[in-house]
Amino acid sequence: MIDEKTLRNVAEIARLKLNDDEILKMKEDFGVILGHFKKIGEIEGGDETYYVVDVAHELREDSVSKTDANDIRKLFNRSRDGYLLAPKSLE
Amino acid sequence: MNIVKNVERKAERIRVEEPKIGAFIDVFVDDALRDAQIVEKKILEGRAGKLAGLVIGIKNNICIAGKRATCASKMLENYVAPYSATVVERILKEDGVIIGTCNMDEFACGSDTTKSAFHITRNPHDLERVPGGSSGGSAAAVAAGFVDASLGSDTGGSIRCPASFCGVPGFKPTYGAVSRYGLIDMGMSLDQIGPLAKNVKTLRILFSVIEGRDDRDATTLGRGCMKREWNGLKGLKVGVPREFFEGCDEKVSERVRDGIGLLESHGAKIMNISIPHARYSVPIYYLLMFAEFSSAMQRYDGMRYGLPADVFQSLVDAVSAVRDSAFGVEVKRRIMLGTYITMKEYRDAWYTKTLRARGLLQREFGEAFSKCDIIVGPAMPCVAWKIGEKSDNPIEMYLSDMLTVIANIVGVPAGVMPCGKIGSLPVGIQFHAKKREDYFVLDLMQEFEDIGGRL
Repeated sequence: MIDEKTLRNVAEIARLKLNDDEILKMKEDFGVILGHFKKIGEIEGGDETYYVVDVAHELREDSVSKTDANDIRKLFNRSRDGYLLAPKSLE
Repeated sequence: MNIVKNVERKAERIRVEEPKIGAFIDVFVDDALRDAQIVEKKILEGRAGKLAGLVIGIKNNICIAGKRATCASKMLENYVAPYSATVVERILKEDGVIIGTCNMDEFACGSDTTKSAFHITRNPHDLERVPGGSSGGSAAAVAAGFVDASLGSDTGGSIRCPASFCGVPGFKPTYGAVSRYGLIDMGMSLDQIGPLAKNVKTLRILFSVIEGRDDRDATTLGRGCMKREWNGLKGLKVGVPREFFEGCDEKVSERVRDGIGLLESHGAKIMNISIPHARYSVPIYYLLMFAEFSSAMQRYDGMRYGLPADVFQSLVDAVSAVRDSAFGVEVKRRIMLGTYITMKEYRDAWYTKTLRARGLLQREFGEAFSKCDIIVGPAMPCVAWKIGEKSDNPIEMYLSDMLTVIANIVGVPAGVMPCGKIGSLPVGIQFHAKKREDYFVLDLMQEFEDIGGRL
């Protein structure tokens, strides 16, 4: 059983601000879902398989294509004086 | 038929029927009519592309330049795609006319299209029931006659589940057969874009247009799909894994066995086989997808994508607040589970174990294909359920994907065909082939349609 403290830690890493009710519901869901999925532990052997096709590293031409920096700025939610605005990451 | 008339007829149908069905997120009839006039001119001049005459819908997690790509989430409600996906570029180049974007479960998290942040989609065969998901809008639009064909995306059955529930042909290509450039991803090692259509001929044309190497997606197959020669049903070795019928509704099994009987009566050789690790398909798939999904969702931080973050809060608070307000319950659940199983303390027990299980299942599938040409079973273990029936029970919803997730775990192509009904509700039969044998599956689907495999 996963405790609330662990779930709050997971929520912080996942950048989700869950309230107390949501944590309780999550605890219940984790119990049911992982309880069902724990049978994966019965499986022995097998190679770790991330991709199911052999992806060869095909290199592309080192060519220049033009991009307008303003088009990229427009994709950002907030900007000022040509700079992109983001919340501060240092206190 | 005249393409302008085709668009007008579809637009009229959408006007009358769409309020009942809810297949679309955005409909752009004016754009479609304008494009149709251009295509009509090209047809008259004898220089029209392969898709000229077809009206197409696009799942709303595939980018069309200048149109909203919402993923049916509040997070991307106002996101306008700055460029088109490769598949969209290829459709337009071949003169397909796009009439709208199709509804889906939020970020493709669901199997019934009740988890769109905007509205639910209803099954055209029974308005009280779900169309399947997560490409429910794409399938319902075809079944309701709003479009000739549509694109969906399939991470664990999201094309084939709604194809089965709505009684239309649907196809999940080999992993890497179709470019994912411009698809808003869910699970990067599992996702494939694929077609749904009113018939197999249209399905095949649309697939032939979108498949092939794309330099902008490094996972696309360098040598493309093979054209394995189709010699008809006579002598075709059809493997039927016993595990595919375990946990399947009895009447669904009956219809699918009737479909297999139809193949046999036309000369196919039916072989009973076993794929033991297919029993673990749901945990393998969901654990892989949780991990990949939680990683894919990290970009929705309220700065570059998503609702604007409050720039006067600290970074963690601001980002967490945006994600909390804009994601739905199922999306949060999957992000939490994916974060948990990939944390250092728990990774070995969950994620690493799952990656190994994936390897085992792939090996068993390879062994099965050394004995047979095609592997057949039901697409879904049940028919379309009632709206709301599985809303509060995530595990029950997950278990309904047990037969579709296998093709994504091992990367093979899989097609679903209508195979009779139970009451008014369609049943789907599913065909798998080896990787890169996409056209072989489509040949079989065509043959199945020709010999009477339909609703």
